[in-house]
Amino acid sequence: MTQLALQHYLAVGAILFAIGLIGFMTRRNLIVMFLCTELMFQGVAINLIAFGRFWGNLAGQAFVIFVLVIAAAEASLALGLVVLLFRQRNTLDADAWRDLKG
Amino acid sequence: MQDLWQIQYSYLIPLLPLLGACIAGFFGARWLKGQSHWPIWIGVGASAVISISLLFSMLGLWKVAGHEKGASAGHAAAQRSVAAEAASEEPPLAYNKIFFHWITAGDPSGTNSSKFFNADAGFLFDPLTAVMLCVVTGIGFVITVFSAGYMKGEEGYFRFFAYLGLFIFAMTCLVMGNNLVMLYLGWEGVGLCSYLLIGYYYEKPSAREAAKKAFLVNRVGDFNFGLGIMLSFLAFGTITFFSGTPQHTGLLEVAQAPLTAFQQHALRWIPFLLMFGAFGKSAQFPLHVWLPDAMEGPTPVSALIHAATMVTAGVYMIARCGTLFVGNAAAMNTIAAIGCFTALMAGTIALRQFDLKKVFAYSTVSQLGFMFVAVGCLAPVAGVFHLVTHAFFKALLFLSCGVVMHAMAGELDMRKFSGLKRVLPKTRILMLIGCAALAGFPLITSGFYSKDEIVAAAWEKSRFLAALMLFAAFLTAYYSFRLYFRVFEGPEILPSPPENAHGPGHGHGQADGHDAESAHATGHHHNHEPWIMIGPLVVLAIGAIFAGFLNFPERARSLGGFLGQSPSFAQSFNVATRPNVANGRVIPPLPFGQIAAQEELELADKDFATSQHSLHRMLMIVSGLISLLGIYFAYLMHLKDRTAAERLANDFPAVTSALEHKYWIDEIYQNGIVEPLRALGRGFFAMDRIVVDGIVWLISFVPQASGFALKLTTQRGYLQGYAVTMLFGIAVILLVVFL
Amino acid sequence: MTAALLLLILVPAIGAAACALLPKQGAAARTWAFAVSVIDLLLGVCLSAQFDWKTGTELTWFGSSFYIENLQFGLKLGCDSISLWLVLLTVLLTPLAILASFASIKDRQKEYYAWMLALLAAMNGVFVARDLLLFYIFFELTLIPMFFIIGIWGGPERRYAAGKFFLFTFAGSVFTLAGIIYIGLMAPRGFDLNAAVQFVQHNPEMARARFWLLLAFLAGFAVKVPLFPVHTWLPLAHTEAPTAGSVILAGVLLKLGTYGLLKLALPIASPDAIGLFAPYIGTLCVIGVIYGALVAWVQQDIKKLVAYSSVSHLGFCVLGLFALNTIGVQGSVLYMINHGLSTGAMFLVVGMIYERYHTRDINRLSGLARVMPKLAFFFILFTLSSIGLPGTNGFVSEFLTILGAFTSTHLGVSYGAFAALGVILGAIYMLHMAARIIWGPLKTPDHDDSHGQGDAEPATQHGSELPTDIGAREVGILVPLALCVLILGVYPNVILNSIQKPAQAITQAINPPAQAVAEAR
Repeated sequence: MTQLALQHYLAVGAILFAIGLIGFMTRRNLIVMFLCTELMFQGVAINLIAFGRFWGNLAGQAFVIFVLVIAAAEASLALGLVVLLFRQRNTLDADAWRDLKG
Repeated sequence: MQDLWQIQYSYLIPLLPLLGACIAGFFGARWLKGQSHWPIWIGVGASAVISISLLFSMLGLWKVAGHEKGASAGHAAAQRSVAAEAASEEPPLAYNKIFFHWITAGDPSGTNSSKFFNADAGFLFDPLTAVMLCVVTGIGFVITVFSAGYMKGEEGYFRFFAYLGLFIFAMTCLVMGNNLVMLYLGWEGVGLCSYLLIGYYYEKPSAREAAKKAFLVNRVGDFNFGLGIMLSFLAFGTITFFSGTPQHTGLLEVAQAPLTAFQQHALRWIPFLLMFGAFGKSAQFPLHVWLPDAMEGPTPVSALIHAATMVTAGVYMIARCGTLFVGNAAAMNTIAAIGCFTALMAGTIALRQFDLKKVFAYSTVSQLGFMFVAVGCLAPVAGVFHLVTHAFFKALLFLSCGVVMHAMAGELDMRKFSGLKRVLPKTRILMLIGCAALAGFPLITSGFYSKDEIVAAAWEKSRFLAALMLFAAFLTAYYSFRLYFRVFEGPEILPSPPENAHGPGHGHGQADGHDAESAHATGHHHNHEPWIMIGPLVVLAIGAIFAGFLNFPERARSLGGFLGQSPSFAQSFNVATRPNVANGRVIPPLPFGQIAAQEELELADKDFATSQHSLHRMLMIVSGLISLLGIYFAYLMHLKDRTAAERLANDFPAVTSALEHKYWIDEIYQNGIVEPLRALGRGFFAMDRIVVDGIVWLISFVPQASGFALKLTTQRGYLQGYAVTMLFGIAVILLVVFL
Repeated sequence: MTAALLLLILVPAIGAAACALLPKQGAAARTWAFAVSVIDLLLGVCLSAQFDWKTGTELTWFGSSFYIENLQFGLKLGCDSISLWLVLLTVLLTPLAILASFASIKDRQKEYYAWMLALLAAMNGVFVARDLLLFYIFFELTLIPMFFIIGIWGGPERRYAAGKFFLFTFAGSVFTLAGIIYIGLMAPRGFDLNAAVQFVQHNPEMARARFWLLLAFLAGFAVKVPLFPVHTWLPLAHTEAPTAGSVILAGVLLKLGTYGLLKLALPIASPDAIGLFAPYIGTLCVIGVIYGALVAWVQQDIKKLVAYSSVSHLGFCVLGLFALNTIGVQGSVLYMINHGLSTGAMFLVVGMIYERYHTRDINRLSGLARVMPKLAFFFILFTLSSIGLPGTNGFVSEFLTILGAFTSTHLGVSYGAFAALGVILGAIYMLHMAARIIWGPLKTPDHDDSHGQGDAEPATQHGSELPTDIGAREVGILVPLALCVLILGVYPNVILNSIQKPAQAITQAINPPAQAVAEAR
């Protein structure tokens, strides 16, 4: 048990992703939902790093850095949007925004 | 022939009146105002001068041709067939003047399945054209002079003269056109002018409706006429009347070449189609309804367009296209029958009309019926002759009517006035001349001679027809003198003062009860007969008396002989005498103006000739007596004892009612044709909105319904819902890929 | 110097872009748009000066730098006499339509004029495109400006009308696109129009496909024309569109359909297929002629009346095309131009009446001749042209299309005879309208408050005054059209002679000489 095998990393990644997914689907608060998507990102990122180390190349790490940058940019944009949405309806409930219904 | 300067400059004949019309129309409202008649006077006058000098030049040319013919006929004892051949060999008194190609379409090589269509802007000059031109421009000029007096002070004075100029333009195009489409151009052009002039007092709803009716009824005729033109083109490949070339490609020369089966078949239909066009324009039975209503127009218009010139275009057209008609016995019988029926029907209706202009309107319809009987009985010369004399006396009558109306402040109901011989002495004499000519007063009036020729032609065809025509002539004499006796003889009654004329109940709204005219009449009560109005009437009266001598039967150089030089008449005689058409009968050449052939016929068949002469003399006596009888009856009923007519009318209420309602033909058309069509239109419109649009809506319903279904199921706007759907989708894809 | 072909499209396209950049306020946009459209008119005149009218050789221009190798798609422009006449019609009508908008378009001016110029570019593009794909692109491009012109500046039901207009024509032309792509894939030289026509005509293997191609083209163009059962978008679009929109719609856009039929459907489809369909299409045309006329007769809205008259008139036009002989095709092309002139003019006059009376209800208008003699003159003139009075342009084309059907080996006498009924009915509805609104006792316009409450028009402010007659600008709009009406009535050969060769080429391909000989026997 001293050596952490690939599957342990993958398990952590999968758990993180699952927590994020379940959170996204069950919570209504826009910020929480956004945090959940971030969790899912990190789950995938762990996978990528684990595989990168397993294969002994840097592609996985490069990807993760890329993902982190994108996630940061996206977080700034998305949180800004959430603030705007909150100003419109004074609520963070996702169900307040059902304009896309047919 | 082509060297005549009148032919070289013939484009001036229509264009000068048109130019006058443009000047009057565009500059009249602001600058010319009360002088707007000048451009028209000058334009129409100039074209009248050209036309009359053209006629005389052609008469001069005829002298040369006639001389040769007289010489050849002198020592010719040949058969008629030889004579007919000789007649076709000599250069005809006709010339085709082409200015430019008007409509050219199709494949000139003719190798493809498409034919080659060509309509030239060109004129055909022959005796028929020359005579018609003189009638149109001559009487047209006289009437424009009269109009300047009659229409003085009217609002829209310039407009009236612009329309008149346009009318002369169209009418001259009609009689000069060298092909059917040019004829059609003039044909519809005069229809347009008629429309505009009937609707001259456009603020009166009755005038507006009458104008529309005139145009539409004519359109029904024109529809058939147009189809006739197309069928002629389809069968013969041309629409030009007379080519004048050795190839004989014109429609008038169809007799020169053997006909194909298709052409023979087409000739069964073409006359009927063209005939309907003529019925529309010349107000014959099924399509006569517009002419009485057309009296809504100013009176000079009724004289020029609806009596003297335009309405005779149908007769002109049948005479012009004679070769297409005479070969078809059924068509000729139909024309004669319709003409006879119309003459009788209109003559009877005229008996119970009290509006002066309406009486003459129905009289015109009736007289046009006479002309149709003439052309239907293979006597086009008699038809054109009656056309000419009728133009004079009917224009005279209408214009006299205009003088009466002018003096009576727009009142036209003959029950409201009587005994005007003191108020209007000159008009009385002129009207008497006109009525006598219309009635066919024996020997001294033109109407007697022309009507007699028609009766004679009818006699050749059938005794019964001739008897009917004599009865129609009796009616004519009766109603014309009924009007004369009521208006000018008897106790003097003047209509009540003119404010009555403005009242809503006056007449049937038929009279031109317009302010300017009545004001004018009251303002100058001392002179009802200014010379500007009487002068033209005198000219017409002279024509009404002496035009009869134009075709005095015993003269060699008569109107008929001149017309006979026209290819229309000569060639239709050729067609009529072809063995399969004549069918064993002897076709008398004189009604076609074929004097040379007549002389030969008389040489060959003495008994026939003498029997014809005695027959004519006998018919002349009978028709003269009939006319006098009609006048006598009118005297009895309307001068001696005016209550007699009313008593007679009250004895037969059904007949009186039928006559006064004009046999309910208008009502039948309105309820039988117009209203159903309009209902059909409404039905179609409803169908457009419900059925056609409904189908479109059904088609668009499929995407709409599926969209609605999706809206209710998956697309509900819950973010988590979309996420679940996505997850489910990914799961399905994974299952498919890995299992 | 055939670059004029390109400039014809480019000048209004750039003009439209520039127009969108102009300041919002003021009259700059309309002056600019008018100037650009006049320049385009001059370009059209230049082009016709270069054109060799005697031989009728097609002018061509090929932008090789725009060539897309993989698709074999290029900026290939050209024009023969038929295209050139239609281009001239377009560049003549557009400045007049823009001039007519000066008074009626009050809000969002620069957008409006930008769309008008864009529309001009697209319409010119359709007529000069000599590449199938390019043709299609321009064909669809005309929809977008018109969609906005109807949808923004139209009447009360403009949204619905614009949508219906767009969807109808677009739904039809999708099939056309399929057909065009099919040809582009099969033909060795791709989308090149003339080469594609040559290819399908000389390749017997295409025979079956040419049958389906006819259907594909018919689906697109019949809606645009519009032929009888698919015409319902037209009255609505015409009624709701602003005056200039109706003018362009009737004057040019409908001609895109007939032009497409003439230029694509007839040459590309197989003679057998055309022969098979001609009687059916002819029947639809005749139904359209009579149906449109009867429906027009019962309309209350004069603009709708004129719109239904277009349905009737275009029936004649297509009937002439499917007569499949030279007379019919020549008459049909002439009909396209004449209908553009006279119906365009009719919409202009109706627009002028509407500007003064704020109503188009036939029952509320009467006796305009009393107060507006000049307008009445033009109204009657264009009415006469519309009912085909000889001496005006309408007669020649109506006569030739009916004559074409009458003498056609594919249609025949009965088609001509029934279509000629439309001549009577045409007179009925047009004179019905003329009698009701031009003649008769004068009715003063009643200004009830139901309309015109928001816009403080000068006319509504002092409502009791009678409307004024048309002014110099409006006379200036109508006079060119009136002159064309008369000139083409007196000397139609100026068009007929020049289109004789292309028309004959089209009909010869359909009726091969051998067949003609057999029929002649």
